[in-house]
Amino acid sequence: MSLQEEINATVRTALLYERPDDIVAGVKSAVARELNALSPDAHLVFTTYYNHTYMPDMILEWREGKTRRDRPVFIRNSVALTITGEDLTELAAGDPIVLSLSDSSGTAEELDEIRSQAASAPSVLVTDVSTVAQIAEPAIVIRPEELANGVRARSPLLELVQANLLRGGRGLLDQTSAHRLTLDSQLAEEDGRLNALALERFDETAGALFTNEALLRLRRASSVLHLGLGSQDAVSADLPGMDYWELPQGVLSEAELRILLPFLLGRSDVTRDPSFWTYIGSMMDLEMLETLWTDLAGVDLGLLVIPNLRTWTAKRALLVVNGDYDKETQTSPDNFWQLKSRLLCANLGPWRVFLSRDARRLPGKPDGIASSWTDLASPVTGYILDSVDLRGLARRILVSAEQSGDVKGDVAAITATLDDEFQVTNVSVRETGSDSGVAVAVDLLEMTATARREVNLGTLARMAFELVGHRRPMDPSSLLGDFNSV
Amino acid sequence: MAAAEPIQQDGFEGVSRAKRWLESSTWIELPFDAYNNAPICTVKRLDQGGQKLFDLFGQILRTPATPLYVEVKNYHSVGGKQAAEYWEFLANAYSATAKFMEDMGDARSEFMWVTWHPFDQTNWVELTKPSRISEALAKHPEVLGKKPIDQDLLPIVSQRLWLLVLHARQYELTLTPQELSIVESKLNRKGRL
Repeated sequence: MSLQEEINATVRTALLYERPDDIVAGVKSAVARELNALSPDAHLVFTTYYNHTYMPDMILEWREGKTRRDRPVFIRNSVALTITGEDLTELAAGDPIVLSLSDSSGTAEELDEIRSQAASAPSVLVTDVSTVAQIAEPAIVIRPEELANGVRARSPLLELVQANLLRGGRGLLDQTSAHRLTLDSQLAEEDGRLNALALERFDETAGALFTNEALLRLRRASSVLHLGLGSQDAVSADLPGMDYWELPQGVLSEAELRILLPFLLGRSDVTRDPSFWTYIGSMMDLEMLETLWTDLAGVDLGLLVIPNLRTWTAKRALLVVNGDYDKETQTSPDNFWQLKSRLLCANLGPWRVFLSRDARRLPGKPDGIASSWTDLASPVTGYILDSVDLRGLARRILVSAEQSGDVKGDVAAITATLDDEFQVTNVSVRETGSDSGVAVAVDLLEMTATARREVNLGTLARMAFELVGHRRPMDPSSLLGDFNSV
Repeated sequence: MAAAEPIQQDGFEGVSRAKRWLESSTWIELPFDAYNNAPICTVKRLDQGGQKLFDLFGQILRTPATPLYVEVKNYHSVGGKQAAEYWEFLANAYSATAKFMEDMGDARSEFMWVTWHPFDQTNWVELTKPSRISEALAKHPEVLGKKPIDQDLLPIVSQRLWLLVLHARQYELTLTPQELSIVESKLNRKGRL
C-alpha cells in the first residue's frame, strides 16, 4: 500500500466512526501526521473546531529567525464539492491552507474553477491530504548506479520544496501539479549539481505554486546550491570571484539551513571559495548554526566558519584542556570547527575552545592559575591593554585606563621599579583593529574571554588561544585562516 | 467517501450555504454531513430497521451543548414536494426522539428544516405545533413501528423543531470569517461547554 493509499484509508475509516469525538480525533491525527512529515520543524496546534466555516482546525506555527509565523489550516471534506469560490474568497484574508480529505478529484471544469478562485486569492493553498503525503515522501532520488551500490542521493531542491510548501504554498496543488513539481525539482539536479535549463522549468512550475516570498526563498536556496556545487553549464565558469552581493540576501530559515548546510558540507566537490561561504554566512548567524548541532554533528565546519570569523559575533570564549590530546604523540583528533552540545568549538593541540553569544552557556571553571606578568606581558603586546590587576607578594596594584593614559607603559614602569613578583588573574584588553572599541575581560582563573558587548568570533578565539592559553602557545592558523594574519 | 445518496452539486451547495449561514450565527457548529459522515448523520426510528439520514449534524453551543440534525431543502420556488417532505420530516423527528428515549434516554436532539422558499403558507404558524406532528404521524404511521403515539412527547418534540427560510442575500449581512473569528475568540462559546 502506497503512502497515499494508506492515508486515504485511514481518513476514510475515521470519517465513518459513530462518535463525533472519534471522527475528529481520527481525522486530525491522520492529517497532522502528514503535515508533520512535510514540515517536521513546525508545530501544529489543534483547535476545538472541525470542518468549521471560519474557525480553523489547526494552526501551523514555526519560527523564522526570531520571528514567530503561523498559518491556519482548514479541513474540508472534498475540494470539488465543499470548497466553493465563496469559501476561498472569504477565507483568503487569513492566508490559510485549505486541506481536503479526499483526492482533488472533480471534473476538469470544477478544478479549473477552484484553480481560478485560488489564483484570485494569491495566499491560499488548496490541496488534499493525499497530495501532501505524496510530496512528503522522502526526498531521495534513486539513480541506477547508486541503486547498484545501495546508496541513495538526497535531493536538496525537493527538500526545499517540502520545507516551504506549507509555509508558502499557494494555488491549487493537486496530484498532477505535485507530480510535476516533484519531477522538475529532481530533474533540475544531476549528480547533485543544478542544471540551469531544468532549473528554469522548475522555477516556472514553482512560480504558480508558491507565494512571492516563498518563491524568492526557493530561488535564493537554489542559487546557493547552484553556486556551491558549480553547475554543468557555462554559468559555472563565472563562479570564481563573482559578486555574491548581487545575489538575493535576507535570512535563511532554520529549515533551509537544515537542508543546505549538511548537504553542501557533506560534498567533497563543494566550492572552497571563501566569498561563497561569506555569502551564506551573511544570511545566518552563530545562533542559527547552533540550532543545527544534531544535523552537523562531527562535520568539519571550517569552510563556513573561517570566512565568517569577522562577521559572526559572540560574547564569550572558553578555553579548556582538550581531553583527546595525546601527550606522547602531541596530536589531537578533530582539529577543526565543529558543533558539540549546541556549541561551536574546535580543538587546537592541547586546547579546546568554545564560543557562544550567550555568556551564561559557557560558565567559567576555576581550572586556571594566575600567571606571572613576565609571562603574560609578551602575548598582551598585540592588544590595547585597558586594565590589569597586579598582585605582588607585598602589594596589589590595579592599573587601568581610568587612571592612566598609558597602561602598558605604567605596568612596565611598576614592574621594573618595584621589587616584587607580580601575578595576574585578570586583564582587560581591546583589539587594535576594527573591534578596538570593545573591551574583553580575560579571566585566567576561569579560562574565559568575555566581551562587554559582542565582538567577532575571530577576536575572541584568538584572545582565548593567545592570552588564556599563553602557557601553551599554539599556532591557530588552521582555525583562524587569514583572520590570524591581520 | 461513503455517500448515502448520489452527490448532487446543487444539493450540496445548498447544504454548504446553510451550514455557513448557521455557523456564522456563532451558536451552531455543523462539522458532519451526510455525504461524508453518513453514520453520524443517521438517526434510528421506532420501526424495526428504520432510520433517517439528515444532511448535517452538529450542535447548538448552549451549556450544555444540544445535538442538532439539519435537513436542507434546496427549493427556490413554489410547488414541488416540499410540503409533503416536511410531513415526513416531522414524523421522523418524533420517531427519532422516541427511539432515543427508548434506547438511551433523552438525547435532547433538535431538528431543523432549512429551505430557500416558504411552503404551505396558509398553515405557516402551525407547522411546528404538536398537532401538526400528530397529523404527520398519521400520514406516516410506518415510523411508529406499531407503537402508540406518546402524547406527552409531542409538545417536547414541537419545542425542539426549527423551521428556517433563508435568502441568498442574507450572506451579505453576516460578518466575514475574519470578523467572526475575532468575535468567536471573545465569545469562546465552545470553551464554556
